[in-house]
Amino acid sequence: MTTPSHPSPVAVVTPWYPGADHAFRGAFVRAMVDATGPGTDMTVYHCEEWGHRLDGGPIEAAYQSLLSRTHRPPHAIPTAGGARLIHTPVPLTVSPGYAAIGRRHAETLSAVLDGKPLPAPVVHAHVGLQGGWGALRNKAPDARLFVTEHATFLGGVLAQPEAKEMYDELLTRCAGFFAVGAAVSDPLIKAFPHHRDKIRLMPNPVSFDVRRPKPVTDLRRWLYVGSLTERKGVRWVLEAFARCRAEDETLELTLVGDGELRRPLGAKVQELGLTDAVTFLGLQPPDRALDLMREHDLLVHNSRFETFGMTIVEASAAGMPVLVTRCGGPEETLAGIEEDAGEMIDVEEASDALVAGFRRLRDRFPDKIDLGRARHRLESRYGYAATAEAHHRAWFGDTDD
Amino acid sequence: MTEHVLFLAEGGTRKRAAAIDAVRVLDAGGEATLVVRDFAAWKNERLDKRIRVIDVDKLEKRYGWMRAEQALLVRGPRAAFRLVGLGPVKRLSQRAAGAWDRRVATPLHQRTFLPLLRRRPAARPPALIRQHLGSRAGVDLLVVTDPASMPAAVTFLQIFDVPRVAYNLDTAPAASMGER
Repeated sequence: MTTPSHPSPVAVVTPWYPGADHAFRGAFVRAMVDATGPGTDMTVYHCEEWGHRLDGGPIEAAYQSLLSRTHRPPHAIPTAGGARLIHTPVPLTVSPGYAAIGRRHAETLSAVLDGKPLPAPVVHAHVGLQGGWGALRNKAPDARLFVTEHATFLGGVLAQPEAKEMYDELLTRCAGFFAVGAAVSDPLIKAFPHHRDKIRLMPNPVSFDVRRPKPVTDLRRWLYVGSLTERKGVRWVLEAFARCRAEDETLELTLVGDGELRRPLGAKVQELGLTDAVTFLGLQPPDRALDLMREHDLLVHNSRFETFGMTIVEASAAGMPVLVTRCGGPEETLAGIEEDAGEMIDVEEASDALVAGFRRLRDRFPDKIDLGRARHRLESRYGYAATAEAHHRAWFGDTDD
Repeated sequence: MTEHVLFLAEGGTRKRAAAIDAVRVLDAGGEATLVVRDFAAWKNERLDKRIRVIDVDKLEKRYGWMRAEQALLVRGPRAAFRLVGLGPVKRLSQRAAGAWDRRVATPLHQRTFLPLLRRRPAARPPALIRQHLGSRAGVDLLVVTDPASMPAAVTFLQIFDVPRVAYNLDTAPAASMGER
């Protein structure tokens, strides 16, 4: 056990955290808080970006003026893992560049803290130039800073010279830096070879607490969970479903999530005459999404790129097989258990790989698949206990006091 | 006592957040007022019918001499373009009407007549909102839902005596004993 006997203050700084309007945004940060909060005295600072295209001056002045009513003192509410949550918007002019975004985060957090340092000897920030830069500029001089990077837009950050310079400083001054997968660590090591030894892998935690009431017996009810956007390849999911359903009329597809493709997909469902077979549930709270995983037979995840792919691990935790693209994160999370967990396919701009993958999986199911083994292996890597222990060891060292 | 929560959503950049929180207030037995600009931009948001919506643009355009301004700048020219545009020149007339709106009517309204109107304290948005709310003008919680509403909130608080201010319902301070 590496957690100190007296709860030690830990400050978590993050631009992403689930809220009433975005139930999934930053669900992995909340999972991390849920896993690592117990045994600490944790406060989460959620610095949420509010983009706009207006003159920034009057908005900034108004924000400062309102602080006396909104954040003096900062109002903390209970959140996961026994932690407290303090929320603040970060008003941001759209597209000012990542360096400017990092500075705005630092300035806003400083304003919320009334110029005082974050009151914790351990600060853990999420997302390098947003949470990370804000935390670096606002931590106490002797506080130790840890950073977890999840961003899918890391390539864009590293392509901007000023942002890259700030990132270098962040890596130099932090006590520990974690990437959620090789899709994040590889470009960072390439950009900053002198920090190779500091960049470690630390996956997102996933809860394995609840088991499905009945095991999957056939692959009839498909489930898609994610934003309805091009990056997630959801158009091809619908097309592949239509092709597979032409062979088996009992198939059903449920889509959880929202996005710019909601209307075109709805129109396509009508055009294909699949209104009885396809259900759009819109955004759902994370707990409901996990329930849906336990009520469906197959998770179909056709993303173009993922740094981790938390949904895949959650689906395996829920005891369902997955049909998933090799899009970065999933190759790592399912390494060694690909065939036990389901079927992996290549990313392509068509539905052929999905259809072929489904047919292979259907032919192997259930005898040549071992969901229990996949679940057990994933729990040992990504379960709350494993993740909490790894974080606490980094934060507090190995002292058993 | 029923809690009255007023949501300032003048920018309309976080419509869903405002709509969800307003419904939560109503479901908890409270009253929810949503203050917007350009309500037409909310047409894709399925707003709960119980939410009281105040469109500040409309309040301003209906105030005093602004009715005449709107008749001269908007309604009159539109009627004229419609009349001229009967038959084969309909499309041409519609384009001309659009250009008039964009290049003449809207800039004149926003840059000349609106600042003129707002010189009168009684015609500024918070005063118009208070007048519109009438006896229901007591607000227990002000929720500022987007960046454009931040400057609006500052002027709002100069007129309204609001015990609590927050950026969303989840992190709003709880009502204290003896509050309205």
